[in-house]
Amino acid sequence: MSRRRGRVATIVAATGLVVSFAGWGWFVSEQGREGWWSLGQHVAITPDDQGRAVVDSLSVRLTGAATVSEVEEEPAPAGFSYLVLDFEVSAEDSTEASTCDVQVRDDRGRLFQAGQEVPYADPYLPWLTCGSADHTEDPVPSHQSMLVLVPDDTGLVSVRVDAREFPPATFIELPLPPDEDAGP
Amino acid sequence: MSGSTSEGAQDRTGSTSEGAQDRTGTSEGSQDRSSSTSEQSQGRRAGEGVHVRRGRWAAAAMLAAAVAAGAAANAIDANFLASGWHTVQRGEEASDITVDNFQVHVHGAATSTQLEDLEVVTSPGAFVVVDLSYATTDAWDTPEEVVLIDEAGREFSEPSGFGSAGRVWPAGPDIWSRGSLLFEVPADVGDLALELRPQTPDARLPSRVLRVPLTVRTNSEPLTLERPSVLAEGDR
Repeated sequence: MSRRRGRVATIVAATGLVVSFAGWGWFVSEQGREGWWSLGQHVAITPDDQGRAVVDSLSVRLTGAATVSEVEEEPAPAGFSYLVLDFEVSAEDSTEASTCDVQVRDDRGRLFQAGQEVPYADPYLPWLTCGSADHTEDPVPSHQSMLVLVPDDTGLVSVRVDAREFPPATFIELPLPPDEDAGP
Repeated sequence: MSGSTSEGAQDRTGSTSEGAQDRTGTSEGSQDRSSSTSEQSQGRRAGEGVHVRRGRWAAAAMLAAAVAAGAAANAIDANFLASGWHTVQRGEEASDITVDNFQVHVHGAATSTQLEDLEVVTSPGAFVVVDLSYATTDAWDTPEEVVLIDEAGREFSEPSGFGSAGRVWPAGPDIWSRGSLLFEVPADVGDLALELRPQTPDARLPSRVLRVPLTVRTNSEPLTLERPSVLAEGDR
């Protein structure tokens, strides 16, 4: 009887210790877990049959993607090209001015950011205009273009559009056609 | 009759006596059982004692484990978390070194008392300009901080009041950029090392920093700063 009581007490104490450590670990990692989820890209919104991807009041369609070796006589560094991206954007129901970051993902998981180390030239913008507070005075352009510096020797897979205003962990992923990601 | 009685009595006596002896025998059996029960009882008490001792040892071990875990957490908090829990990775000049998501190549460093920053400015100590290239492994990113550290452990970060050149810049995945970083140090500074900290220190997460001892050449002319530029594929 005493032996059994001793075993039960030991099991209860050990279980309590393990549960306490697990609870402590869960508690202290709460902020990290929430940050990892809400700030990361985990839920991809893909385009519908018409090629439009919709998040809240924003609708984006990729209308063109082609690489060029120079823009306005400014050549890309040796071994690199500029990827020209054309978008059709609709955000008529948006109520706040906002911008979206655009990245291009390759087959090695690398993300190349639009607007970084590219020539300043019309009509290219470093980011997408995704919303407006005044659609009469400052409408969201329906056609927008961007430049992305990409290596020549890589396979480009998709275009990612993301913004802080998107629901947590959500981003838009627009596949790149295989015949349009070839080098110049 | 009497004989028979006597015999009977004797018999009875004998019988009685035997019975008594039997009972005595029973008494001896009782003593045997009594001593056996006593031994069993002592055995049980001994067994219980062993279990009680085991239980006490288990409780003591768990208590010690809890105290040790608390002490370890306290030691980690005091020694690592207060200043960021990081591991120092050693590197050397003129080689590619990967730390976290950054690839770094330190070309060298130069020092002078003067700096060309639109106009020539003179330091009460010395300016140090570090020539380096870096890229990332995953996405566009900027190092959180780059500092110089001397032999005494003193840290020198980016000075304020100078132009935009000489500060950390963003770099892309396998897109190497080369530029220069500006520091200002006291005249009595000894050997210097460059420390690159890729990410914002988070007290709850371990991180790595890169430390590269510098070969610093002395310039008689004012130092100049190079704006970062993307290098051709394969260049450093």
